[in-house]
Amino acid sequence: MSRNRQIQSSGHALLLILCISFIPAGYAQHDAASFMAPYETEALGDGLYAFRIGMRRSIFLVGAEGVIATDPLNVEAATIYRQEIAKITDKPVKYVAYSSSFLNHVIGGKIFKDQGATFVAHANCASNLTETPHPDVVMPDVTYTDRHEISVGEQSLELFYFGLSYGNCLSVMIARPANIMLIANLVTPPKAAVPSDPTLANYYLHNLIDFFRSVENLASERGVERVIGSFAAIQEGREGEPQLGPATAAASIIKDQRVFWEEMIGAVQTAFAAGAPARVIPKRIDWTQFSEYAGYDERNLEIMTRRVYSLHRIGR
Amino acid sequence: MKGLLTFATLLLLLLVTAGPANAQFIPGIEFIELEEFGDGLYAFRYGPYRNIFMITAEGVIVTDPLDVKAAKILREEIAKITDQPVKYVAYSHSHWDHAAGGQIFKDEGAKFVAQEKCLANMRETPHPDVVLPDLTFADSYEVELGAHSLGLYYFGPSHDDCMVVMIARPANMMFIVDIGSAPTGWVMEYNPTMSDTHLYNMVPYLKDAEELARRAGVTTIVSGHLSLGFDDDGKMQAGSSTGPISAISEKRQFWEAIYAAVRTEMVTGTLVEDVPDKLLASSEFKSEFLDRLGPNGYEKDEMWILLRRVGSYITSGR
Repeated sequence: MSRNRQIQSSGHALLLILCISFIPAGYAQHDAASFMAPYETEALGDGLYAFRIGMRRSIFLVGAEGVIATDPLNVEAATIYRQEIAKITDKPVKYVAYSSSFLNHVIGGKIFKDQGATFVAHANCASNLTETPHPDVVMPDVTYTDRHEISVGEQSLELFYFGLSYGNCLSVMIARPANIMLIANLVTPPKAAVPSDPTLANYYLHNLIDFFRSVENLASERGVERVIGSFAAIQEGREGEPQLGPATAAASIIKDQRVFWEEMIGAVQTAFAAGAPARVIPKRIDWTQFSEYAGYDERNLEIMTRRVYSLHRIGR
Repeated sequence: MKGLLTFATLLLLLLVTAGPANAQFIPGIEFIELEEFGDGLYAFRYGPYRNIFMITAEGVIVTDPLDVKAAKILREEIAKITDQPVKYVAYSHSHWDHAAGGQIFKDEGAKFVAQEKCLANMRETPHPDVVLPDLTFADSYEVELGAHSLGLYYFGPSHDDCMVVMIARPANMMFIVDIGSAPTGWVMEYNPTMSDTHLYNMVPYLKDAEELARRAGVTTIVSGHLSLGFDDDGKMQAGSSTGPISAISEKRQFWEAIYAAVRTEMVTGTLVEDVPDKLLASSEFKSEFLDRLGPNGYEKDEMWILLRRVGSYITSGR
């Protein structure tokens, strides 16, 4: 099979979720594309910063009492991450918050641990990291089940858990006072997208719609207007040239991504209910309905139907 | 038999939810098949799905009811053998395509048994035709009726998070569903996206099953699915429902080999999304892995998907 990696044009400003690396240290890392810096730190206001290295992002909050960092990514990234923080403040990193337990996000925290940081994660993440340990992953010191808040003075990071989604311990975070929400893995600004991994590894589809609705409700209740993801996207500029997409998107991206999943699950459900076998289902779906989503790739969508079929056939 | 078709190929040949209950669903192969193994142990196949049941002087132990239609036919088949009631229904795991249809046994008073996480799963994703377990356990459980017993053994997440292997005694045969197959373990996965499958524990799980078989003196497995193959004339025929215990070892080797191949490729610097194409073009991967599946053991597009899924496991750790 030859994979078509070309971007499908929808007639709008194009957006490409680069074939994102989910790769821990020891495996190939996605380099930043030639038109962008290998890494950068972007100030988002109110003490909140986004750190991007290659195609991955974490956020950190600088407060009067120290720094809160999210996912260290890997050993090499964390070293640069620490240097970038040091350019802004000489205060120590007091907390590291894990968005999930996946190695491509949580490796490399020792540099922060060595300066006394407290590591925070959902309780299921601690179980996962115990079950599948990695020598470069720092175990969480503090775990929570539903909601947890950490602060470094005026700046705080609130973590929320809404059940199975991408993995079984994904935390949605709100950074204050910036009031920007971090949704790792499941949302990538600037627009709703077709996931880059067509096998949907680690997706818990049976709870995904409920998860998104919970996050939408939270954003609404807390007046969140901007969302940041854990990956960068490449989009086309006015001349068709590739450029780095923005770090944040309007909070409406949460609903848009939920709608993508409803459409995908619904399309497979319709074909399944009509009696189509798993491998026939992709042929029964009009894929043009998905052409406006970032990263549109018909082959990837067809593969995804195999995974989504299982939701209807086996219940998970 | 020259080779085995993948279960995915098998399902392409039929509509599993609408199979005729009393006809050949593939030329030469009946939709329904009943097999007797001795010592009161039987296998019931309904299209591509199979369960086992045990007839004893004190009642019947049934495993996965499959679905409403299958369970009704199974009940009729049991009634042809014994007038004893079904006392227990044991679930292999929580997925609807195996666990649905048990109400007909519940109505005659059967107790339903499953690993405790199955109960949680069934509550979380309920299905109107799935009867919830009455009895749950954490590590192992022995369903006993007179001199017969069905041992249920849990070794952690595998295909879903509550899958058990079963040993029917005194026949001393192991029933294994979805994570192993007979007559050989060198068979491509049915759904290469590996839905609800915990790849990180597949090798340890299968090793535990192998060790259990060794301790228990089990030499034969019964597969939860039909395998298909071809005879020397190229005519499709049903594969054996049973196989040697080495089939579990083969499945473990299948996973070890594919994990090693993907990991090795990624260490050389290949990006996860490029690993499938690289491996499928590799003569080394062909000789070390693909050739062991046999000529009908894999399809390139299906293997691409599986390699991509394994790449995600290697990178994310789950």
